[in-house]
Amino acid sequence: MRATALTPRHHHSWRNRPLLKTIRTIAFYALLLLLFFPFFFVFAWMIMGAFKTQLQNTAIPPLFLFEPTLENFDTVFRRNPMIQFLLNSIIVGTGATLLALIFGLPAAYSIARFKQQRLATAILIARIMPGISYLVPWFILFSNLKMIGSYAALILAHLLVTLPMTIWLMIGFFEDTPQELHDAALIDGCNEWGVFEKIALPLTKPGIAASAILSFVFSWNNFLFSLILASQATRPLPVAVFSFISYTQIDWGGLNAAATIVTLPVLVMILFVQKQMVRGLTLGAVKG
Amino acid sequence: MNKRILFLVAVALASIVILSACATPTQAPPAPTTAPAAPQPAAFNWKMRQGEKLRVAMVTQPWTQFVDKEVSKFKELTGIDVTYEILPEDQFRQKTTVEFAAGTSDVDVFLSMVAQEGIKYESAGWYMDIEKLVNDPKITDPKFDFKDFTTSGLGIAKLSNGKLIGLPVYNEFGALMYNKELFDKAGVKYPPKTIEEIEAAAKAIHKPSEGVYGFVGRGAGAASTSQFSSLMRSFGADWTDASGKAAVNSDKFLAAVKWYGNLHKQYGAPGATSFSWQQGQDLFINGKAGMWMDASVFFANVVDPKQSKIVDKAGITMAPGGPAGQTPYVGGWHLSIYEKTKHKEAAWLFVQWALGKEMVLKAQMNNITTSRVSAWESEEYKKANKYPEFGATFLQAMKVGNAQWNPPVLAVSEARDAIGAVIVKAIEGSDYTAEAAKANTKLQSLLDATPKLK
Repeated sequence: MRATALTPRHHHSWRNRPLLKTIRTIAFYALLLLLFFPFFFVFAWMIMGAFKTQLQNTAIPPLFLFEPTLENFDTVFRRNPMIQFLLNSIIVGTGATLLALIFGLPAAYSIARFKQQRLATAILIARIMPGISYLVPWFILFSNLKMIGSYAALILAHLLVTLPMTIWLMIGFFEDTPQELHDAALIDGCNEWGVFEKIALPLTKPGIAASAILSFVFSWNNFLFSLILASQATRPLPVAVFSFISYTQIDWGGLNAAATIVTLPVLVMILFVQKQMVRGLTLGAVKG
Repeated sequence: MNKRILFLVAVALASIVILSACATPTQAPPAPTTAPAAPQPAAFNWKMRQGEKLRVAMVTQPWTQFVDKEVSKFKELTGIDVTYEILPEDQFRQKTTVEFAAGTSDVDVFLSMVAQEGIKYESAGWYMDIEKLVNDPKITDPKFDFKDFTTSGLGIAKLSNGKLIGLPVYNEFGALMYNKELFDKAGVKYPPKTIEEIEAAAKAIHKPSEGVYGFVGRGAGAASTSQFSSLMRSFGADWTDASGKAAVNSDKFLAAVKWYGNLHKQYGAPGATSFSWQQGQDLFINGKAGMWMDASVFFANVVDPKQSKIVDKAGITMAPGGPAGQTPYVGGWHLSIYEKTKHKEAAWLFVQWALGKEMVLKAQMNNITTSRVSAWESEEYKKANKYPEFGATFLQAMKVGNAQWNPPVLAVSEARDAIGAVIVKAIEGSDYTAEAAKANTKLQSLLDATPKLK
């Protein structure tokens, strides 16, 4: 009892001291900076490296102050058809995301509604299998269909990444939609498809947004499938970044410049949609 | 139900998009060529396979980039269309291995390294016998001059069964690069040739308080075994004994490990057990290391003003000589033809063009250490070469070198991991003999699991 009586007063007087308050604020941000430093540093180092010459990049000790150069970006765009690679990434990412939504949403709804747990597990297993084990059969299949190097082959391959993720994210969302609404709609004469379309889909919009964004990002970052199934002309960005690593030399400046170009669009996109995405993710995670 | 219809239309549209994308123009079948003309020694018919299409898969490295700039000339000369693909080493291996394993690859010509993947590729039947092509006058330019390639150079494209499965695009040897300025400052003579001279020089140069180290070299486990193989042979050891049994715990092998470990411990840079070529090169080109033992191919970086601070101070010699003499390893990439290619003659024409005398001399002038003696001894190159000792050392290394820089097993990386662990232990100063015994057992089991080449 005495303690609870004392604390507020103590707390009160403590709060009123401006100096302590400033220290507290500084300490808070210092700690924040310390925690985030490793994450920021990697990005900062990448961006700095993109503006350094090879000599500056390999200097011992590492340089933090230097005369920046734009030469690396020049090489990146001149040595590689970067715009083409960017376009390739966008086409494949959009295609794989759209198809994942078209097939994944009804699938997830059906699994959630009719409790098809086995089906859900089977889809998960398909995703857990290491991607490389699919590659040889895919290569045989696609080369017999004369599809190697086509966007279609890449999009279909990326579906292995985007489809299970969309389904698994959406199962949670659909399970969270109140059963009463379904029943009411059914009584009012809606069929199952109508319930899905008019009730379930509008209610799970944040989830759909989150799945779409994550699908796109995962497809954007996928390296292995793109490496094997793309041709020189359909190569997406991540594969292109590696062209700066050679057997006898690593062009650090070019590599960093290319990596910056690859990271930037995703980073900007995430900044714009992060609220939506976090809401979507947490909504799906907490079951009512 | 309007929306439902819309939804179905969207699905239908999507499938149309996919189907139409599937129907990307397929490769036109090669135009039927006229029957091979009777051999005319006067003028070799480069156009004999006009209209065909080749896919060439390359690893990112200087020679590849050099050819990339020239490849349009091949199209002019032969009328053969070339898709020229370049990928970094690891990604290249992943891609070609998957394609070849699938058996439906349309790669015709590719780069390879016998010491790394030779046994695997040969037992899978992926390499074409090059010697047969060389000896076929109908499809080989009489001016090709096969004998012009150095012996060790060809050695990097030969399997243990003697089959030649490629032609070298360039060669490298186990080298010791040194910083003349640091040697002068310490009052030591160069080039350092024997293990004793190297130890003495390292001792005199080593000043860790000033950030200068006597010797740098690879120490990162598996990455270190290739360079270490030069030293191993200088001590008279090898991966296997005369009967083909694993021998990486023989007394001579252990002596080499001990010497290498001690040199690192006493005169090396901190963190040596994580060093591959990048870390050694970074210290060396910044003038922070007296000597750097690594592949000669990196000398081009060391003398490139865009990358190096010691352009005028760098020297190069062969990897250290020991009690059993001086036997640097010889390596490099070779151009091979995929056994299942549908364009055998066109592929061979590409190899002849890319590795013909004219192109090789051009490559040599672009700082590539080619495998043709004629290029090294040409007046053109001799005049342009600013490092005459390099040319002499290279040709000498090609005479005495050994191309077996990897243990002769199928699972090369497993063997390298096991042997690399021994080197790490020696640098750390812990019990490397026990590790060597373990590595030897491992190597023997890998040797037992390696198919015998026919």
